[in-house]
Amino acid sequence: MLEVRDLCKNFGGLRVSRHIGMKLEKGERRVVLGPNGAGKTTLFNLLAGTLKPTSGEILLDGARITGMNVEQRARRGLSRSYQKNNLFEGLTVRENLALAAATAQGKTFSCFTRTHESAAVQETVEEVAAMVGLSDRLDVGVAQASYGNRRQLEVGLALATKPKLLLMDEPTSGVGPGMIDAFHKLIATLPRELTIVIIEHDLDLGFDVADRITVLNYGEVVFEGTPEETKGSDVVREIYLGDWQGDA
Amino acid sequence: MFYQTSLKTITVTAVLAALAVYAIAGGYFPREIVVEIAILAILAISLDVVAGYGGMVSLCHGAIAGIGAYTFAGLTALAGFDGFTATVAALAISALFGLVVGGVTANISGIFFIMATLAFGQMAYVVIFEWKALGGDDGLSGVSRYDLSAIGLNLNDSLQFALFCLAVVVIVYAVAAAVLRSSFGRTLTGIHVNEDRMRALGLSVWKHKAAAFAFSSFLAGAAGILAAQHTMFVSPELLVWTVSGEVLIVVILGGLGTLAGPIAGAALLVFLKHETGAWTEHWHLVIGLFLIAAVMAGGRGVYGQIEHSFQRRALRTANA
Repeated sequence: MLEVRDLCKNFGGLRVSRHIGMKLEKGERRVVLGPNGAGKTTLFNLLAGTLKPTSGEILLDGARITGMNVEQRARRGLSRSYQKNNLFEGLTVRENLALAAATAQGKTFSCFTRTHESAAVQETVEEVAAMVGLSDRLDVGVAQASYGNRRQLEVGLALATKPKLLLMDEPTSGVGPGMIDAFHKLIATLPRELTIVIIEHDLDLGFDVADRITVLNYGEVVFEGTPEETKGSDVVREIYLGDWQGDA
Repeated sequence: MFYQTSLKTITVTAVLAALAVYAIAGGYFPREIVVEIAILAILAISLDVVAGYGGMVSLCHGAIAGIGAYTFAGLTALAGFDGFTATVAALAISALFGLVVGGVTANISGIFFIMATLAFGQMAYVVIFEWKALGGDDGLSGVSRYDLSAIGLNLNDSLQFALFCLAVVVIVYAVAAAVLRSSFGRTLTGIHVNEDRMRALGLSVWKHKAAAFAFSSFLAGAAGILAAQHTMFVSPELLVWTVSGEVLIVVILGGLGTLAGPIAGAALLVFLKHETGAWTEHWHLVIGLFLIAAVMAGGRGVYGQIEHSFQRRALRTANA
């Protein structure tokens, strides 16, 4: 589904991504772990097209997307949520989701019809709002929404495009334990055919939702394996987990 | 997001009704003022579509209106086309010019966008200024007004022409409002609020911004057509960048991103200009003070401030 081959990114003399290789099957949940500065968000920016790689290749469904820009990749079914909320401020939750749904459905060029209010768009809005737990907050302005609701909407915008591949950059960043549980349930209930790559600092959540885990350090993949293999890895424990013992 | 609220409907209706009464009750000079306001209001609405709802602050809308005016004047006065054909051509050429400007500048933002549009406007000005067949710097006379005798109207009558111009304002406002409420308008607002996110959702931002500029230019072309008929003469002065600057002042005074505000702003500016111009030639100073006050008072403009006050009151009532 997604294949990354020998991906490198340099900022001048600084090598932030080094020969990264990954291969994800359709429907796989991949969690990317790594300490601060490991290059996780840079990897997401390379996958989403925000950054151009210095070398290497990215393939989506077998097609090379390395040279495509952000919007072209999004139209091929790659969607992302951001670590810092990147919403349509000043609009309501409903308007935010409608913008995303209408864009994905190609209903943006109609000059005299209100396709943002069409049944197809509103159906997606209601469906996604229910998925992320915002059904009763649809008519609330983003500015009036709580931080947790804004995080939910952040993921909701990405989901409203009905992606094939979803990149989630620290979806639980800054939220409380109750909201982490909600995100846990959300990821568990997402359609199984949806491929997801998640950067996550909450290790319990990461280990629970992942089919496989990729660990980055200094821009390199230092480990890849199942959650159990990751927990048992000396390399991972040394560079990332330290004395972490988990809930067990 | 644009919504045709009751406040907008009441404001537009009240301002246009007051202008109609002013034209009916007044003589020739008040009617000339009403026409001036109507043309400026149309141009300001067209600018508000891209600046207020698309975040594209243009300094070439005067030039676009000038292109519309020259196309209409050239086709009617020189080529002998009828008013309807000339109108369609003038609107199409204005929109086409806007599409080119929008297409070239859509990936530029901020001060660079403003400078690029200024450059386009100045290029258009120089071309018209040097175009001898269109009269060069002497301009072009002999433009006639629409022949609407078939429906019993005589636009050579100052009152009928003033009321006709107000009717065009209503049409332009209604078309702009319909487009802003459409999916295209919603998408344009999305681009204005968060262009990067719209790209991440898969939108071709460039295409939509270029199309928005073309639509706005189409409306600006309508202002140019009326301007040509108003004086029955066109000159390169129509395309000078200060015209675009004045339109921007109108939008800011009335309320950027409100659509109704530019109509109120046009009335305010023209009346201020004529009233202060009666006792001092330094009327620009007074306008400047008003503009500074409008910007310093939150930048919402006259109508924008009223709308904001109503919204705050509604929010307080809802929370009480």
